[in-house]
This record gives sequence, C-alpha cells and structure tokens, in this order.
Amino acid sequence: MSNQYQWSLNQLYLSFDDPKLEIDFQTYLQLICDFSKFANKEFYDTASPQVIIERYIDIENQLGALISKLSAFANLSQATDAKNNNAQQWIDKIRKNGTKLTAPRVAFIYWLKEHASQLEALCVASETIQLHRFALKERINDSLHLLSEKEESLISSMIQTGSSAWEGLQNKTTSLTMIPIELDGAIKELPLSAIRNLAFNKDQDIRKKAFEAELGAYPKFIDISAAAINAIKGEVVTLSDKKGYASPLQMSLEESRMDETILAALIGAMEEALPIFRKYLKGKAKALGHEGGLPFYDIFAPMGSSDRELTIEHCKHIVEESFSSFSSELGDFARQAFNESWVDFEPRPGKRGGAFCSNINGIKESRFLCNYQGSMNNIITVAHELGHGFHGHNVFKETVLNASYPMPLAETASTFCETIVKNRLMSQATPSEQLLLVETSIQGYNQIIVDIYSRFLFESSVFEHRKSSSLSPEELCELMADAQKKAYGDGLDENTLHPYMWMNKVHYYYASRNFYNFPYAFGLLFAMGLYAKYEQEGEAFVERYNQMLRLTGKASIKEVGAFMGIDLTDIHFWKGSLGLMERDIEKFLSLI
Amino acid sequence: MDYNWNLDTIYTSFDSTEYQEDVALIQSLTIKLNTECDAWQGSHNPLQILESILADFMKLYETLYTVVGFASLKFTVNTSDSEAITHYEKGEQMITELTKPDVKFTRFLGSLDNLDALIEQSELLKAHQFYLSRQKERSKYMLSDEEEILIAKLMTTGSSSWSMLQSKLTSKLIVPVKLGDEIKEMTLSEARAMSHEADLATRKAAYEAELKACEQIEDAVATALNSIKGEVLTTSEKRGFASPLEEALFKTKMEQKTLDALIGTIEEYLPKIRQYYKKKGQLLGNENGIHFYNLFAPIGKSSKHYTYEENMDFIIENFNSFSTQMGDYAKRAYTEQWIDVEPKAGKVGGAYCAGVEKTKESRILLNFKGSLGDVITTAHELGHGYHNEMLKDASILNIDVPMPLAETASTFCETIVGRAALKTVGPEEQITVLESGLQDAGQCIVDIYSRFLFESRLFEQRKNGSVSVEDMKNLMLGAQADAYGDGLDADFRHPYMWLNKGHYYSAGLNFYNFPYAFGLLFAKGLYKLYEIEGQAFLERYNKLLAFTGQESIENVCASVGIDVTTREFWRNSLDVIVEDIEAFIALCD
Repeated sequence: MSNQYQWSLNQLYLSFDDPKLEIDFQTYLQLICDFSKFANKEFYDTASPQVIIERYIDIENQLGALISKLSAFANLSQATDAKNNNAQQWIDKIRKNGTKLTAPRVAFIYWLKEHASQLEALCVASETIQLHRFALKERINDSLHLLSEKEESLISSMIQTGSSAWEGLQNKTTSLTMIPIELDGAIKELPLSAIRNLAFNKDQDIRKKAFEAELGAYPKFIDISAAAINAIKGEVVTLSDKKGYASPLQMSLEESRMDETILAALIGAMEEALPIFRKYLKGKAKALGHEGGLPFYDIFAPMGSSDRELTIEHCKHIVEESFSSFSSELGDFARQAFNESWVDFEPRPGKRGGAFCSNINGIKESRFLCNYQGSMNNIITVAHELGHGFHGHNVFKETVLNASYPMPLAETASTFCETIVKNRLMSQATPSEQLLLVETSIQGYNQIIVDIYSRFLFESSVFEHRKSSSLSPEELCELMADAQKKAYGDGLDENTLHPYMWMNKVHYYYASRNFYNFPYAFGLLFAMGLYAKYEQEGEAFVERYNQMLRLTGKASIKEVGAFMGIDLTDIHFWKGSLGLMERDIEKFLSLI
Repeated sequence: MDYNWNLDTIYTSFDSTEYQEDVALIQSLTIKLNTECDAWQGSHNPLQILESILADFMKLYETLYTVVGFASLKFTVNTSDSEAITHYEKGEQMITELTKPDVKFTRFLGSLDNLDALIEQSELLKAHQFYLSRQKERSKYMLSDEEEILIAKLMTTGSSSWSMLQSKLTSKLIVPVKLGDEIKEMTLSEARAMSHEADLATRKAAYEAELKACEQIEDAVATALNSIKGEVLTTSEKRGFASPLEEALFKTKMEQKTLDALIGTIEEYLPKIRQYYKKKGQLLGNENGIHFYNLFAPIGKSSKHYTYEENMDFIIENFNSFSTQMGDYAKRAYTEQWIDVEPKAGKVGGAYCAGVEKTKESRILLNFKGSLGDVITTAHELGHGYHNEMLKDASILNIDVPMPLAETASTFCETIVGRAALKTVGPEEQITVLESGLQDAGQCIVDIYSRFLFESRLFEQRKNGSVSVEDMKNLMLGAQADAYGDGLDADFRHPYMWLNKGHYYSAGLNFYNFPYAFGLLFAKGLYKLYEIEGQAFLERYNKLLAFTGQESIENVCASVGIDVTTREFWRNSLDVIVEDIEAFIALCD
C-alpha cells in the first residue's frame, strides 16, 4: 500500500474506520444543526444584522473547511478505487446531509436581500463583513434566480438521485471498462484511460490499433452514457428555466462571474485562429505520410524524439527545477507535493482516467491524480495539476468563503505552470527534442482552442435539442461528428472522426457545471497573456501574480483581468495570445 | 363458431356516429372542467359545485374509459392496427388533460372544513361519501403547485429515466446459454423462461448463464435502483408520509394492522409451505432443499386436451355448481361472443379481462390452445368479468378497486375450476395439476414474502446512503433464506432477483408485492368460507364484490363479516394451501 508513487491521504484520515472521521462527521452534523437556526424567523427578529451576518460567515467558513476534508477523503478514495463501497456510502451521506443546508442558505439570502441597503454601513462597522463584501454582494445578486426555500430544498434533494447519481454512474462505468487490444502478439485488457494514452505512442500502428479498440468499446456502454447525458442536461434545462435564466449558457456565465462580452471576444478570436491550426494539422498529416487531413488517431502522435527515459523521478526533477526558476515559492510547493506524497502517478485498474487536482481547504493541502506513463506530455500534465495546487496554496491564505474561484480562472494557474515547464524543457532540448516539444505544445493548443471549440459547439447543440426532446445515442454521435467537422475543417480526415468523444469527456457529466470547455480556452489564453507579461516584467511580476491568484476567489473575472492591467473584453488581448501560438506553428512548419 | 370477440355493442367502428359523439362529449366536458376549476375553491355555493363536478366527472370517466378501452381492445388483437394506435394515443392525451381539474378538485375538497355537513345535504354526495373524504385526505399529502410541478419535472430526468435505463439494459442483455454442445444467445426474459423447461440440464444451464450475465449490468442497474428508491424516500418524506410503506398502504386503502396480520400469518405457515419445496426438491434429486432453477420445473405431464367448447361447458357446469348466477354469466359471455379465443398473428400474448363502462359488459382476451392451464386461465378471466358484473350498479367513482381486492373473484373462480378439474383426471395427472397450482401459490406467498423483506430492508439501508451491489445481492440472498428457509438449498439461491423485476423500478409503485399475497390468500379464505357455509355464502360473496370499490379494504371485508386485521381469517386461507400440499405429498409417496 505504501507505494511512494501513490498518494497518501493520511493527512485527512487513516481509513474509513479512523475515529477522527466520525468525529469530524459529528461536528459537521452539529454545524448543520446550528445553521438550521437561520431558517427560523425568530432568529432574524432577535439578533442584530451585524451579528447575523458575522455568524453566517463564521458557519460557512467552518462548514467549508469540514466538508472539504470529508468529501475529499471519500472522493479521492473512490477515484483510485471505483469499487470502494465505503467511499460511495460516505459520499452519499455527506451529500444527503448537505441538502439540509439549502433551506438556511436560502433563508439567509432572502433576508440579506431585504437588508441590502445596510450592507455598506455594516462593512464600515465590521471588519469581517468588509472582508466578505464580495461574497455577500454576490449572494444578493443570486437572489434574482432563487426559488422559494421549499423548492430549493426539494431541488437539492432530488439532484442527489438525479444528476449527481448519473454523474457517478458515468464515472464508474468509464473507469471500470476494460478494453481488449492486441499488443506484441498477445491480447491484453486495458482500462479506457490506458488505451487513450496509447494515442501518444511512437508507433503509428499501435496508435491506430488503440483508436480502433477504443471506438469498438464505446457501443458497449453507449446506452448508459446516453441516458446519463440526457438526464443531466435535461435536469439543467429544467432548473435553468425554473430559475429564470435565459439559457444554460447564461447560467454558466453568471456562475463564472463572467460577462457575455468576454466570452464573445474569446470565441471570436478562437474562430479567427482556426485556419492557422488547420495549417498545422495538415502539415503534421503530411509529415506523417497522410494525404489531406490528419486522421484522428494521429492527433497526439509525437514528432521529433527524445532519448531521455522519462521516469517519474525525471518528471519530479524537471517540474521542481523549472518551477524554482519562476519563484522559490513555486519550487518549494512542488517539492512539498512530491515529498509528502500528494501525487498519485500511475494508472491501475479501477482508477479514474485523466488527471485532476483536489484542493482541500480543510488541511490547506492538495492531492493530484495523474495517469503518468512516461511521455513529455505526461510531465506537462503533472505541471498543469500542480499549477492548480499552487492556486490553492495561494487562496488558502484567504477565508474559505473567499477561496472559491470561478471555472475560467481555475485554469489560469495550471496553464501558467504548464508554460513554465514547457519553456524550460525547450531551453534544454536537442533539435530533435525541440521538434518534439514544439509539437507537443501545439498539440496542447490545438486541444484547447480547436477541440474545445468543438466541445463548446457540441454542448450548445445538445442543449438546443434537449429543450424539446431527449437525444438518441446515434443523434449524440452525429452532433459530435458535426462539431468536429466545424472545428477542425479540412485539418482532420473526415473519415476518421471520433463520434464518441461525448462519452469520454467527463465534463459533460458534471451535475452542477455546464460548458466546462470555454474556461480551458480562457485559462490558456489568459495564462499565455500573463506569461508574456512575465517575460516583459520579470521579478516584479511574480508577487503581483501571487496576489492575483488570491484575488480570484473574491472578484469578478473582469476585475481580476483589470488587476493585471488587462481588458478581457477586448478581442485584441485574446488575439495577442493566439499570435504567440501562431509563432510556434510557423516554427513547427519550418522544422518539418 | 366465430372465435373472435364481437365489439359491435360498444362501437361498430372509430368512424361510427356513436364513437364520434362520445369523443365530442369528452372534449366538451374536459374544456368545461378545465375552465371552471379555477373558480371552485372559495365559491359561495360549494354544494352545488360539488354536485356539478361529480356529475361531470361521472359522465366524463364513463365515456372516456369506454372510448379508450375500445381502442385498446382493437389494438390488442391486432397490434399493427395503426388506426387503433392513433386513437389510443389520443385517448391517453385526453386523460392527461384532466390532471388540472383533478388536482384542483382534490385541493377544493381539502379546503372545505364542512365537507361532512355538505354531504348530508345531498343524495348524490351521500352516495360518494367515501370517495369524497378520501380525495380530501389525499389533499393532505399534496405539496404546493410549484413543488408538485418541480417534482414532476425532476422525476422525468430522475426516476423515470432510471427506470428506462433498467428496462433497456435488461432487455438488451444477451445471455449465452449452453444447450448441449451449442451456445444459444438469448434475451434475459428468454433465458428466465427456460426455468419452465422439462429438461433439468437446460434449466440449470439457463440459471447459471443468467447469473453470469447479470454481472455485466449489475453496477448500472444497482445505481438505478438506488436512485429510484432514494427519490421515493425524498418525495415520500416531503409529502408527509412516515415511510414509503405507509404511502403504499395509503394508496391501496389498507391499514398497517392488516398487513401485519397477513405477513405474520404467512410467517407462521412458512415451515408447512417449505414442505412442498422440500418434496419437490427430492423429486428432482435436490436433497438439501430445492435449487432455484427447479422452482418452476413441471412435474409429470398433462395430456388432457380441451376444445374451446369443452372448456366453456366445463366452466359453466362448475360455475353453476357454485351459483347459477355465475354459471349464467359465463354462458352469456360465451354466447354473446365477449371472448377472443385463439392466438393469431399480431395479437398480444397472455390473457386479460376489460370492463366496458358504457354497456356494463366485459371483454376477455385469451390465447387458448387447449391445455388444462388454459381452462384455468379462462375461469380466472371470467372471474374478473363476474366481478365487473357485480360492480355494474355502482357509480364509476365507486369502482376503484384496490389491487389487493382486484384478484379476489378471479382467483376464487380459478380455485373452483381447479378443484373440479382435479377430480376429472387420474392420480398421475393429479400430481401435475396440484403441483402447478402450488407453484403459483408458492410464488404469491413465499417469493412475494422474500420480495417484501428485500424491499423493506433496502429502504432501511438506503436511508443511510447508497447500497452497493454486494450489499444488494446479500440483501436478496438473506431475504430468500428467511422466506424459503430449508426449502431452498442455500447454495442455489438467486442473488440477482432485484435486477430483473420491473416493479422495483417504478417510483409510483412501491411494495408492489404484498397485494399479490393478499389477493391470493383472500380468495382462498373466501373459498374456505364457502366450503364451510355452502349456499349461504353466495349472497355475502356477491355483496362483497359489489362493495370492493367503495371503502377501505378493512371496511369492505367487515361489511360481510370478514376481519382481515386478525390472523384467524388468514389461517383459514393458508389451510387451503396446506391441504393441497398435503395432497401433493401424499400422491408423491
């Protein structure tokens, strides 16, 4: 069990039998009990507004810390062991009790709305209130979309057996699927995530075989995924409609603290950049010996090469070294993460695919799930996830209520760290490695600009259709293929599209987050813009950047941009970042 | 003789003037109720309003059910009849348009503090006293319009979607069954149907293949069951029920103490019933209790063949021996061609009986092929018809027979004809006949008891969070052990019985198991009373059937002097089963 490349959750709890877990759970229940007073009219009649608000802030901060510990332990245990029954039970238990928080929260928000005019005065009177001014004002705005206490409670209960359960089923199904593939003359059964990692293999034959094996596996669970996506998106349509949002997209934007004008500028700039990416894709296709567009299975084909064997130790070293070159604080952070077993590196059966970071405010630490298999790209992924963790490291200095940042800003620190590592790798590379790295970089850009654009199109049309009826598995596949055609154009071989991508990307199944695609594009382009600034400003930038990360939990996206001197509603900012990508693409085309 | 049923007394066709006029009447009444219902609550003359609503609903339901029933009858004998499908769908649509007035009516009754006094003032209301008070009681469990709408919407992406997933996965599952040297791929229901095969190796192979195949979909189906039962716990609590069981009892108009008496008596008799399983196991070479795959094994062989005419003569004769009224009823159904007899292309399988509100007749669909089982089925459906006949003078609002009482007359008639048939065959075949009856009784008592235990325990555990596949399987094995005891070999139980039973997956039908036990045992108990009382019982029996839709189950039974809330009555019922078991064992030895 004490494999150094698996994470340790001991800092949370030793096991599901750890008495500390039960004690924390009891405290959690007690807090819920204390909080339920807020649903009580008498409380508001007897206490002063200042006391009410301060008490609310205190309880939310305590609850946030506790819930982060309890649910991280259950979720992380399940992420590496899909069949862990204890984990599922605890997840349910925590969530089920969490639904009791809805009524007091709604009651408080309605009360706060009525006292909105006093807020400024209270900010003067109380430091605590002043400190949470943004959070409080945001709640007043939320009240526009709030239903009655009873309806909100009902919703939070029914979501548990609705979208949330569907999300769980989808996760479980994809992580337990084993796919047969012939490698080195023997038939092996690999998890979906391992099969997908073969897309990065040097050998075209293996990439193609893996792609075919992967596509062959989806029909086996297509009914489940289709039922899940229909139910989840159908629930979103119901709720966004009930709550008076113009559309699920508008709901996502409000939750993202983001203006529509920012999204329009971002998407507009991406669309303008598509032709450049198609040039890259066709160039890559030609270099790999294809006529016309690139086949889907070669999208991740590595180009150039490296003799270095990239063990996990190499990965750690490279990440630590490049992080330190940015700031000793960042470097120290990576060292701590590696030394204290915060990272779960390798794939294994029952472990979830992909990679994620879990920031646990209750212990002010993070945990990282990766599926490391020794490629350059895997190293970049490790850097990406650690970037999330460093973001957490900064916001942990704030109170819990001030520490939750919106989706688009969630991808900023991660992408920034990716860039740091990439540039570092580049500076030390041989010519062949340079090609490998430039191409790996562009591969990543292509995912986050072109593929993300296809996902944005797909999700938009799913919502459009779901309003009137559910979608059959065939219709979902068609919409996916259409979206890929629109995004990739002639850059991709039309005969080898991936119509099942909607079954593979976990983001479509998030019960409470929609359009978790444009935030990636935002994050990458914003981070690149920031990196360009870092290159200009040097040392001076580092402290301001850390401050900005701390700000992400208590300001709108526009304000965060402004803090760094950037106007995010201006298409030119986005085009600037895309221009940097174009430079890389030109370099790539000259190298091949 | 024409073996197709004659529907002309209902409508000659969808184009007939009568049908068209009835549809128009439904539409106008629907519009009227939908328009008026907003003004019901708070009206100055509630008495007049109530009378008017009742009159409208009665007329509307009578016509609507006849119209929809006609389309349904046409469809079931020819499932590719697109005209019938269209009309049936229109009918369903018409029914949904009544949701609003129905809800408003319930709320209106809920708002009337002086309902009892109002009822006293009107003959029409007095005739519907129970119906009105029950509607009023229902209003207590209704949430606000906003919450009800929200629940309805979220259920479509919740329990309804989960239920569809379960049926999709179980119907698409492929079960490879090894038959001899060949592997035959079949659906889950085909593989399960193999349990009735005469060949032991086939039954066993199908059982093993089924258990293996279930593993493929166990995670998804268990998630569906967890979510559906979790949703039920949420809505049931929000509506103010103490538990899903309380809600199920309320819906079926039955009290907890009746359920307790029923379940308690079943538990008391389990050891005796297990003798049957042990004996059957021994006949099939299972020394430590029967193996699950042998539960439905046919014993012996039935060779007797009946023509449809012989079948009807036999039934009429035996119905007559009970009462001429019932014999005459069967004769009328026969001569007036109410029965669609034979299987034919496009006709649905199975058998059913449907009452026609407007003409106070019934129609019966059979797939008669001449076996003794088919004779029993005919008697069963005619029993339903006779029940309808007894209800014909009651208002349509008073014939909502709860599920536990709905199988009374049918099972009663089955028993009459089954016992008579037993006397007409030789000892060899007697075993077959008795055993086939015991198979059904065993399902309704022992297996249903295991399902009741499983569902109760599942709800209990689900309250604390999701139930894992392993726990679910163990709950099922435990329920089977508690129900079948030493009658079933512990190494050959069926851990996946929760995966294939559709009832568990309907959010609206919880505990849809005990009504089956009630239905069977109630009829058997009545039969016992008939044996004891002879002709004197007839009047009570008719009166009981006529009253089945008008009161709570306890009061319906009390009206003819039967107390279903104590074990005494149920012991009589179970004694009838035990007599059959003893006869079966004696014949075997």
